[in-house]
Amino acid sequence: MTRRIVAIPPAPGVAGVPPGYHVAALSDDVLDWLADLLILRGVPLSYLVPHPDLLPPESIRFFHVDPNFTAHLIDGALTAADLGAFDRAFHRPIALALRKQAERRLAGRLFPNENPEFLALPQLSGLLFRSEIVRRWPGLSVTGYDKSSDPGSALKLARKDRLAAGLMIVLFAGVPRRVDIAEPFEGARFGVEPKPGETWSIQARHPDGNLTGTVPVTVTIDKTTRRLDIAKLAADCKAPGSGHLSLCLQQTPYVQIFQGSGAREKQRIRRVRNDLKRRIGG
Amino acid sequence: MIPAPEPALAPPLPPGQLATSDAAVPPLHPGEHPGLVIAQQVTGTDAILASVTASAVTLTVVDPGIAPLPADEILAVYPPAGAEDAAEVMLPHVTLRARSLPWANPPLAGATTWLALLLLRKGEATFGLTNGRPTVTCTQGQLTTLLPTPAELGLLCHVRELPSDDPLAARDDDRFVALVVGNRLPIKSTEHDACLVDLRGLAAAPIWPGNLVNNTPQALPLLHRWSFKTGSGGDFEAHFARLRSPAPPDNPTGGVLAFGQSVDGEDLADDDGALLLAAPLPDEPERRVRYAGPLVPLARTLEHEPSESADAALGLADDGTEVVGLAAAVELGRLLAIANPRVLAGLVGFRDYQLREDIDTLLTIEAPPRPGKPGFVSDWRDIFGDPDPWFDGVRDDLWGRSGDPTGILGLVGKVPGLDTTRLKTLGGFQLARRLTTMSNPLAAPGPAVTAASAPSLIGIDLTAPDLATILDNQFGALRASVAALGIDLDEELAP
Repeated sequence: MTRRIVAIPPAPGVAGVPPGYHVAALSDDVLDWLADLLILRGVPLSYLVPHPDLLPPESIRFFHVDPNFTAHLIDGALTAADLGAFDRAFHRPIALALRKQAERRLAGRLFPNENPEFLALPQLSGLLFRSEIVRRWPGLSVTGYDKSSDPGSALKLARKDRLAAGLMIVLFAGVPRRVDIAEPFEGARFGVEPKPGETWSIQARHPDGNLTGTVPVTVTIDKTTRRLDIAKLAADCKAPGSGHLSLCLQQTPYVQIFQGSGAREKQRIRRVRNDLKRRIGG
Repeated sequence: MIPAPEPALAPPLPPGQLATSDAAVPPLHPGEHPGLVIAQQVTGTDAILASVTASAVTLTVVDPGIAPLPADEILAVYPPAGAEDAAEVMLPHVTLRARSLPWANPPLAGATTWLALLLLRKGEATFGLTNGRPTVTCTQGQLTTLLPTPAELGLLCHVRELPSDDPLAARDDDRFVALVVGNRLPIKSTEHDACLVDLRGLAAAPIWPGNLVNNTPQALPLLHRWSFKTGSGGDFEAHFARLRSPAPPDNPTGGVLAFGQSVDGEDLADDDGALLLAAPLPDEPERRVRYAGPLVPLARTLEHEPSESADAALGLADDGTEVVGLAAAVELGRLLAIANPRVLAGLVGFRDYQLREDIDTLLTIEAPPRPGKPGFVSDWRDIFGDPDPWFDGVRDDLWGRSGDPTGILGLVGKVPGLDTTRLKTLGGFQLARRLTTMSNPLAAPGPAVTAASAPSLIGIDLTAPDLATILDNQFGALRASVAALGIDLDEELAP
């Protein structure tokens, strides 16, 4: 007679589970909670930003999410339900399976139309935005693109939350090469563009709404009262009627575009290369 | 004359589009309009089905400016009423539900409308009642400098057809609205009043052409008024311009950088996002640890094995400094789970189930071929419960080999902190369940079970007829702990 003890073989990779090892499925709400850990939901700010200098007032900081940290959050959650020493001996395969389940859950939420069997959670990255802008325009939109030249390649937003009145965290499912932060649409707004030297301008438009050109029209504004010379402006914009003039005065939402240069990555590669040379005496 | 179809019956503008026009002048102004003839016929395919005989009526159009506008006539104002940080580069405006309102009364001489949106800084005007209706009072000299000229008044009122996706369209009856725009920009960090005023009282006032020294008070009837305050930083674009270009001390912003970088070019954290943090201990006040949180400047791959405890996740840097980031993650994950009873219960249930699966897997016995049961594969419960003497050898082997078919006792002393007392309080729950399951066939009447020398398992006689009671007593403390988690142990242990 043989006694078949099913030894747990080494995991083929940290993202995998030992072949043949069956792990039960978690309930949906617990899985969602674990998936939320992957996007750092519930993680206190002091864990994200352990020193105030890392996120000073009026700043944006781009980052990658360290999957080791989020995986260990899940490990920790699992230890909360530790049932004993025997259970602990099985921690590793269960933890591996749990990490995978949480990843699949998050990937399924981000890509609901994809086959979950083939889903892999992309590298998460994002930005922290601490500014008066967040407080004044909480509805601002953030879009990440994985190709700077293709506006149609928007990345899924894994998370966009305000952590405080003037602090926002945004996570992308992927690593964007370009990030657009757009002013929220607040209905019609009429205004002028400030220019250096306390001058003001607007972009004149045709009656069909198209811009007349790239040269802005200077707006005459009384410096004391800040009253606009509306009659002159209408003449300069060649807008004889109020409907046409309103199009010229209308302000469209502003979009701030950030495009990465990859300079920091190149800097790091150079540093590693130099270090290797030093070590091998090259 | 058959009236033209109402614009509201036309298809709505698609999202993202809008249409403007200079005015919507109503055919009638306020007052009595006698002698209007109304006739109507309803015709079928070849006959008149019904007709209303022409008759002369008198129509009275009410002056919309005799009192402040009702709240539902004001669809929106900009900046929002009560705003604390309005942009100083935007003109105020009001959106009126009735598209013809700016042209509903006869216009001022030289103008095309009878109203204007007047922007006043705090202290520039007084507000009160004149003849029982709200008014704003300025000097005529002020009005000369602040109000649009008659020629400009019409340029500041227009009609707008809203697209179907405009939130205002849902609140309007026909998607056509009138907008009155101010002609004056607010100034930074100042309280303002925006006043939609009836200008018809100015017909006799000498404000045009300008007479700046005229201090005669002039009261204007208020149709609507709202207040707001401007912020100090300009609009969205201006804020970003400052944020993008830090230049201390004039513009001490933090700039746009990778996590861990600072404006002065010094890296606050290394490439792994780690930085040294003070973590003093009573006997080590200068202690510092290396902490890397979840946000790192460079992409990383998953390379760390699961950790069964925070201690197990502690690391040591080359210089001897403790590396605590992952340990902090484990402890945080544990605390977050404990703080959420629903999640904790779910995870406990999961591990409970999983543990049983693991035990079953570990203890599955692959029996040798047995006459009449080719390929028979059983597990330990079947073997212990089967009275067939054929299994005696198996039972003896199993007990004799380890004395502990679960293997738990083999972990005592190997896992830090696990002794037999801890085993009872920590893992006893699962063991109890398993033993209870096992005890039933053993205790069942029938052919005598071979009295194999079953060693006691953590001090429990497995062959005792009241095994369940013994286990219940043995694991009383565990029962209390489990009850605290909201799990019904009786139900869980029920055979």
